[in-house]
Amino acid sequence: MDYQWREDSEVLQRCLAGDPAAYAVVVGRYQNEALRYAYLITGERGAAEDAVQEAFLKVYLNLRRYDPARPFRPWLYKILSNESLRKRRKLDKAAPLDDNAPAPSDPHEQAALDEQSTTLQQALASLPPEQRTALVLKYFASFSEAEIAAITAARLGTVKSRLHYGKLALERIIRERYPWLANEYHASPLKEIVR
Amino acid sequence: MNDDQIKAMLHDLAAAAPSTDVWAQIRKRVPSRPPRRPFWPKLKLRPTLVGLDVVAIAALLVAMFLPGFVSPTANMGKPGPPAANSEHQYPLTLAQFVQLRGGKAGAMLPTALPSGYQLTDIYGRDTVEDTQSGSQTLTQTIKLRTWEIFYHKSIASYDKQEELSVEVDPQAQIIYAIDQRRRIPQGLDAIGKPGVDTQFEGQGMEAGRMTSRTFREDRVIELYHDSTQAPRSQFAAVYFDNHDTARTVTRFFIQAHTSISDDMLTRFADSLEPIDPQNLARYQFGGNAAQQPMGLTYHDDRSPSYSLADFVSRKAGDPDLMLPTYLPSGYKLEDIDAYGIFLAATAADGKTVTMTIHNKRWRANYALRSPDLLPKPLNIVVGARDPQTSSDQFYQSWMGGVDTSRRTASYQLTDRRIELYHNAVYAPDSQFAYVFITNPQGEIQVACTIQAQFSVSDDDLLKIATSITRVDPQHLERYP
Repeated sequence: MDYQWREDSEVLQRCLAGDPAAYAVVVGRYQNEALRYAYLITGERGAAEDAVQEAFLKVYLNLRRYDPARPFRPWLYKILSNESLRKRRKLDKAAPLDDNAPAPSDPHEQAALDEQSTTLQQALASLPPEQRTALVLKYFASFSEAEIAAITAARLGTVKSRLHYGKLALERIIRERYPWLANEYHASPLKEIVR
Repeated sequence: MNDDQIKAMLHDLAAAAPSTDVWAQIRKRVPSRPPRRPFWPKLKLRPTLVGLDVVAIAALLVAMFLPGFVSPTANMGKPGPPAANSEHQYPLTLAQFVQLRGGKAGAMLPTALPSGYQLTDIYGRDTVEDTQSGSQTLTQTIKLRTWEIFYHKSIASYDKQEELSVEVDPQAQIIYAIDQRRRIPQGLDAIGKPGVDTQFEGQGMEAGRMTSRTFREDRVIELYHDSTQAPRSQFAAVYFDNHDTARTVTRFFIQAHTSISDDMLTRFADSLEPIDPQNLARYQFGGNAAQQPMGLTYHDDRSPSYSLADFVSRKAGDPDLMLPTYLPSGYKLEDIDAYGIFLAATAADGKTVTMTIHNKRWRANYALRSPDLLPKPLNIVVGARDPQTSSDQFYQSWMGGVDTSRRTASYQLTDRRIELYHNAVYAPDSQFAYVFITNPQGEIQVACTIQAQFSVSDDDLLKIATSITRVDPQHLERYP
């Protein structure tokens, strides 16, 4: 059967009916965006890959809980968020984040390290995990605030607060510690966002 | 920074992790079937036909040829080492359950049930997990790591809507997550505190759906509302403290597939008590777990493709039974995809039980065929608005992800709105159209998406859209 044009709910029900190959289709649909999301949360490519694998496996093992009347993607992200945060915590235990570590003051030195992405990641990692998760769910994964509330098991007001303070904190961190980065994103025209 | 700048920043950053092949990594760890309720758990207890009557044997044969049948062998697992991070599920009688779990955390059952419900199934689940010991990875099987208890109201109809399930995790952790560096499991004390993380990943228990949280002396009861399924709460969680050093709790997750009052759910939760092994009848309410198995799983009843006559006879009376009377020259209806609409299961008495899902989308497949050319498909997806969804919400949902900048024209007629869309990828002319059939108040009742994968003119699209009408079962020849 050609699953390409079928909705997630149909493909997953096929999977529940005994066709595990159907799950490969669902994995294929979401794996790359899931990896990018996990990378933004964990800050480490290997940990992100682990988180994505564990999340897809967990989804499969919990498919009996899947409700076809509801969209699949928020549920995937709920599990993926938890897995990503767990991986992040493990990394923190191994090498705790040091919020007070001095940031490179010379942008050229930073550039020499070819680490704009590292710098961005450091700024993001400086945020409390709840704020980071909310920001990434909204601005990367394009979920509504209500969906973020469902994914993170938080009240809507809490999500709004996390987004508000997360944005302020991110802006402050970038201005104070990575000022050239603020200029980069203020000065350059926006790149087309392709999901 | 504005929203667009944050978006651009995150997408730039995410580009450092561009792609992966998850399936290749996990396919060996994925069981051949996802964990699910066995189709007919009684078979596992009696893996022989000796002693079964003719009806039971016939039912077995029918069941074995239904898609989704889980054989006793499949339920038992295959020989050899189990896959890491997997689950193994099996049915238990109440007596077996008490024997395995009696006296330990979570060995509790309710003594108050909604009227008419009976205990019908208990499924235990063992999990196989990898644990790290120094540099070594050990594989450990945890017996009866979780279990699920099922109650049914109507044994005669086997209707999923009359099912009540209780999923039990006797080692759940409530983690106080305000400070990332002090994530200490807090047991029952943490429930209701800001920033707790229940680590529960089921659908339906999102914090935004919670309608009440009640603290009792020995338990915490949370009620959850699901507006998509019922007017009242029908999820509940009940937590008990395990009083262990790891500060774990036992969590009962109660799910009703139909509306149950808050009062009844609370009584159910309050009535959970340690099982008295001398009085098992107290918990069965006339039912008998794993002896009269109700573990029915509905499946699509046959091939998902239907002829027009078959489909119309099954879906007669539904408001979205609509098709066009006009098609571009040469196009013909091939079949209708109705996956997940007509469901069937076989009951323990051998009878086939059917169910129709009324608000699910279906698709009519048309094609233009000629001997020398590949077929040119055109299909129409049709769906009715659920009365609980507003017209605006339904429109937004139906049009989710559609790039409105590609809209080339829209028309408002007396009983419908039509929008034409251009897709330069496939064809020079517009070949997508959305048709919204409205009632006299202007509310959308039925939506149709016409998708032609080859060029169809605007004029033809408009004619198809305006010709879509309720199907008259007496005159199927009108629908080409």
